Amino acid sequence: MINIIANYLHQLLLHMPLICGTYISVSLLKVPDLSLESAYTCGALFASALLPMLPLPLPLQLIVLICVSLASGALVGLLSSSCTMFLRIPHLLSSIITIGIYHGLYQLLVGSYVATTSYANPLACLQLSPYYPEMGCLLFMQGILLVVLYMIFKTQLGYCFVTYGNNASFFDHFSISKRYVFIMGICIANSLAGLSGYLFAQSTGFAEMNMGIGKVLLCITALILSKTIIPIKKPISLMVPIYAGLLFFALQQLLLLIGFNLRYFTMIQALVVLVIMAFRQRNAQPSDSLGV
Amino acid sequence: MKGLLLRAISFSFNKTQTPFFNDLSTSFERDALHFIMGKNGVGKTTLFRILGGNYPADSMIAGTICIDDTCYDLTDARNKQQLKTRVQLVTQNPKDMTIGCLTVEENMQMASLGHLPKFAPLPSAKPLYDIQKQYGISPLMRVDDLSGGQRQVLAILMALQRHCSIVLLDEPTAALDDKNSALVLACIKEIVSKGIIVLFITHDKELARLYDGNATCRQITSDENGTRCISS
Repeated sequence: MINIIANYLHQLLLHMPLICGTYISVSLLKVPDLSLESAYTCGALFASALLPMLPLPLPLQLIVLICVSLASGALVGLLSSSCTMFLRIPHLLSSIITIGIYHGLYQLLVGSYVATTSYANPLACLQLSPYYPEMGCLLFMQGILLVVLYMIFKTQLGYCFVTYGNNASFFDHFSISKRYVFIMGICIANSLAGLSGYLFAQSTGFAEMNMGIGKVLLCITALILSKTIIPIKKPISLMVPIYAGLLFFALQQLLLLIGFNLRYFTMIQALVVLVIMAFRQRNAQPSDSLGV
Repeated sequence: MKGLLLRAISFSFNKTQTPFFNDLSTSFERDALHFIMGKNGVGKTTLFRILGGNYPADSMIAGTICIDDTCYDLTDARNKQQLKTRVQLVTQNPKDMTIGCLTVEENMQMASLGHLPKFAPLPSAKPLYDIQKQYGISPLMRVDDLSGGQRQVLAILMALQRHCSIVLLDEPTAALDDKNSALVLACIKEIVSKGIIVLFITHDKELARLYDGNATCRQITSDENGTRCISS
């Protein structure tokens, strides 16, 4: 039982930045942002590739790698959001273009696969238990992350993220830079995805070019589940991604417990989204906002 | 002169077109509401775009706009931004200018944000009026829960958060019933009494009669060449 709980917590902590990032991008766009998948891979590959080049004590190494993964993710966001804002390309197409460009960059700069198993794990620098060496560090990091995000959501920019999704023309009327709000939001969201990618790669011992595929579906499923089961009226609340993570990985562990083969889990996620959206449509609830 | 003065304004949408406005000069004093009337397509909204510095970049424009003692030469592109800060447009649909999922107070605070929002708390809203007492709008109400008139009043009050000198109202009561129109007119009377220049586009002549404050009615017409003029 402890193993199940530890595994649940571990998966939740690895994915929490990604879910928070998706929450921000959905608040902005009202539709999922595909470039998050590229940011996730980018953070994982670049930080993993840098690991052997850092002859530093583990805590310092971890701080540098976190910064690198956040910056890598933010660069992906910068490219996709700049294409949308400056070239006036629809964001879906901008994301597809971004994925294509970064696909080439990965192979050019770091290769399609990076293994980290032969190096000391920086995530084990704050051990609470020898059985779960990464748990202490992950808990500490996520604590800081949630406090920072809580503060961001209370700022002018946090409110602007909600406003952008709700009524983007507001910014034109009040001479507020729409470009700045959009680019900042997408960069923050993608940097969080980059961090999550690095944490996952460090934990599994490798990063590879296709590891981001399906991650947006995972997060959208989690967020829609959260908003359906525990509706929160506040326009932007940190509790939404927290509940999303808790519910999603609880469902995953439950399916594992009853002997479900996780190879079909992506299909289950898609079906969950499909059923909830169909139900919303039948009850004439607005579906453009994905309920998020 | 204290008020808004338009001096020799000439405007056409592009180089080849006949002038839309040709040597247009008129003035709008403070302490009165100025109704702007005219047929559809006659140029009421175009006039508002010129006043608000929102004319297209490829248009041909000349003339001067003076607000109190400050004059803006329209041939100087830098003055476009200056006009945008001094003139605030309120559209027919208040949903364009308000954020439904936030509260009234949060909307007022959002309206006073700078060009680049910061990682800092929302600024305090300018305490303009007792909106709860005068218009029955609680600052803690969600904007989606307001009536159409209340939402339009909120949009006007949000425009005033920008420290503007002129408010342009583009048919703000067109979609409202009599009760809500009266609420909006009461709000407009209040801001006119504070010395803000208010121009109000409407097709409804009754509305000008309903307004119980000092008001003028201006008619925009088009001559046989398509050039517009405005009655004084």
